[in-house]
Amino acid sequence: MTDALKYIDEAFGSIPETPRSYKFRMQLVDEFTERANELTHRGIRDRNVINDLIISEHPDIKAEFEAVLSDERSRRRRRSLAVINVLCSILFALITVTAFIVHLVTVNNGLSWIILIGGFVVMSVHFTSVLCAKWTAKKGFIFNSVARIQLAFSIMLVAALAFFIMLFKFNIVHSWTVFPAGAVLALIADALYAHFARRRMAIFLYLLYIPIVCALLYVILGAVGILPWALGWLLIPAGIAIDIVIIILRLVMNQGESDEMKEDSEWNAD
Amino acid sequence: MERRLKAELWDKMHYLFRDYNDRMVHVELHYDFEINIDAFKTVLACFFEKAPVFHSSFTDNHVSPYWTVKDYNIDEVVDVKNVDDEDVDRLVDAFLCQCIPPENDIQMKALILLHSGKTTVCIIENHMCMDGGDFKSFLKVFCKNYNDYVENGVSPLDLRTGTRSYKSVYKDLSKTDRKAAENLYKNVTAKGDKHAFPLTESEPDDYSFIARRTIGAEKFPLIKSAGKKRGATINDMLTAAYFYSLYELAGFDKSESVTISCAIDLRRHMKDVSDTGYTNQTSWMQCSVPELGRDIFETLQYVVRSSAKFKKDKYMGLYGLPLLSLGYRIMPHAASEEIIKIGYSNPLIAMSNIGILEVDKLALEGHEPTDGFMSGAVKYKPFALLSATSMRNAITLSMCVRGNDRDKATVNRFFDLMEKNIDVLTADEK
Repeated sequence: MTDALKYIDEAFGSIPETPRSYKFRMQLVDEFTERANELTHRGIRDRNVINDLIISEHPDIKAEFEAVLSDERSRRRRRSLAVINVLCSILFALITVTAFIVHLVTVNNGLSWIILIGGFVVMSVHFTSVLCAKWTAKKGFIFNSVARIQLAFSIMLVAALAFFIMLFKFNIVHSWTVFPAGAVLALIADALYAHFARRRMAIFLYLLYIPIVCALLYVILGAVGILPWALGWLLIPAGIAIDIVIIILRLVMNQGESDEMKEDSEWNAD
Repeated sequence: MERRLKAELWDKMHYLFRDYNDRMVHVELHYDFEINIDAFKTVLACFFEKAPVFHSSFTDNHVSPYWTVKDYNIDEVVDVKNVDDEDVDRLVDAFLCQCIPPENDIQMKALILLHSGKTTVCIIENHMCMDGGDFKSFLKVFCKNYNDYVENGVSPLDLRTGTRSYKSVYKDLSKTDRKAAENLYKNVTAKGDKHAFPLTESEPDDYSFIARRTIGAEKFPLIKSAGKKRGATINDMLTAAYFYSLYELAGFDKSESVTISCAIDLRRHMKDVSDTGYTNQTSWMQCSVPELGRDIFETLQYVVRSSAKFKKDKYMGLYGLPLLSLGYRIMPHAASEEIIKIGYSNPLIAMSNIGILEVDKLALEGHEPTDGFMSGAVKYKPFALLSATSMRNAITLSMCVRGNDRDKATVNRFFDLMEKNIDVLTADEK
């Protein structure tokens, strides 16, 4: 065991001495001793072999210590996330009570409803974002699809809240345009998700979404009066034109890649 | 806290094979001196520590099976006996014919018999842990570590460790080949061929036995040169003799096509295995003859043609792996086993050429093994597997069967025919 303990001392030479590193060192000493007893019990009698075997199981103590610290950090992150979740739940309960009190005191249905729905939306967006991140971390098409649906759902919830505020609080005539605007945002968010999650065949999503986004923008801008209806329809052919440009660019890039692959397979041929 | 290991694809597949065989891989080695028992135990214990799957118990969880690492004592793994020479064969047979259940705490057992200044070493291990190819490599590394430990006091820790995943087989392929290989969703099992080795029906009184026959070292160069003349490998020559003997033994119609599944080592696709753990990387290659042929030489031509077709394929043996993996991934284990059983057809007649047992690499303290062989699992009827290994040019054919005395006689008659047909194949070389 002396050699193994000396090995720990040497390894800790390069680790700054802190209460945490001291604790880790003590844990390691205990672990080494326990392991030595286990190996003896399993039938290895040669002390040198036991030492070498234990040392070989810990080839880089510094990296091990860093891994422990990083694990602790992520555990702390998880714990704070759980605290946030609990606080959110308490907040939601408070919002509900506040909305009820506002309703009783002011007899203003619109305001109390906005408080209630607002609270609900903020909560839902928070929870769906947490779930979305979890699903994204898992590999596989199914998980990614669920995450994308949750993302779109969050955006549409926010759009619904905006609609309620605009309609009931400010009485804006074209409040309904928030819904197609929400859909535009959801499509853009999905395309970005596909891009950053490196989804295969993401290009087909872009090609599908661009004309839809253009058509929705045509409706929104036309309804709000920013763009005349007679001129606005040009957004739709413009969307298709962008698609065609993307297809041509992609084909040119693919040609380059396939030439590279051909060279690769020739290089590896027997 | 209990430590769990992931059950890899091949672990699950070999567990599924429990209906077809006893999943044991066997080796027997003879040395002309008494080995150092303490050193043997120390080396094996160190290897067990480096590869914990050997002291793990398999749990058939309905959702996802796994290995649980268990405690052990090396004395439970290695059994040492001082015996008389006349008892050796009986004890070896009894040891090799036993089966280690996957739920057992240890997955490898060794028997060391010390007799008249000599040593006989027998080892059996669960095929779920590693295949014959890796077992052979394990033995060579074992001997090297043993020698370094006994002679120089070097701790026996030089055992490769790493992933046991079937996916390692793709790691050295080019980017494009890997992409293509990972999409080979093709069921390539030998479906349709109903020809079987002529064994009796299964009975409750059946027992496991290992029948073996050694073809003298003097015949090895003859087989090699006769094969060379006809563009055949030693494996092709043995397969041709296998076909010819089988037609005669089983009385198959000479005009019927018969298929023998030959085990292939998928490590052929890997340039470097040093970062992988001990595992299974074996698949089947279906070698068929359209008919018996007018003589054994025509049968040999059919065999050469059939195996050449496979050897030309750069994805040899990789078909079906993605399909199996998908099957295990998308469903709970219990369901995927049932589905895979429907699609998978275990070969009725098979052959595994384990290859050369290199005496220089299996030497202990400078003493090369005087004799030895390796063989695959004990097959349950009607399945049959012929294993072939060679040591100092002597080829040992072995067949592990769970059967009765009549089956034993049939297998011995088959070996007689094999010897006769190998003689015919090499007649021109004498």
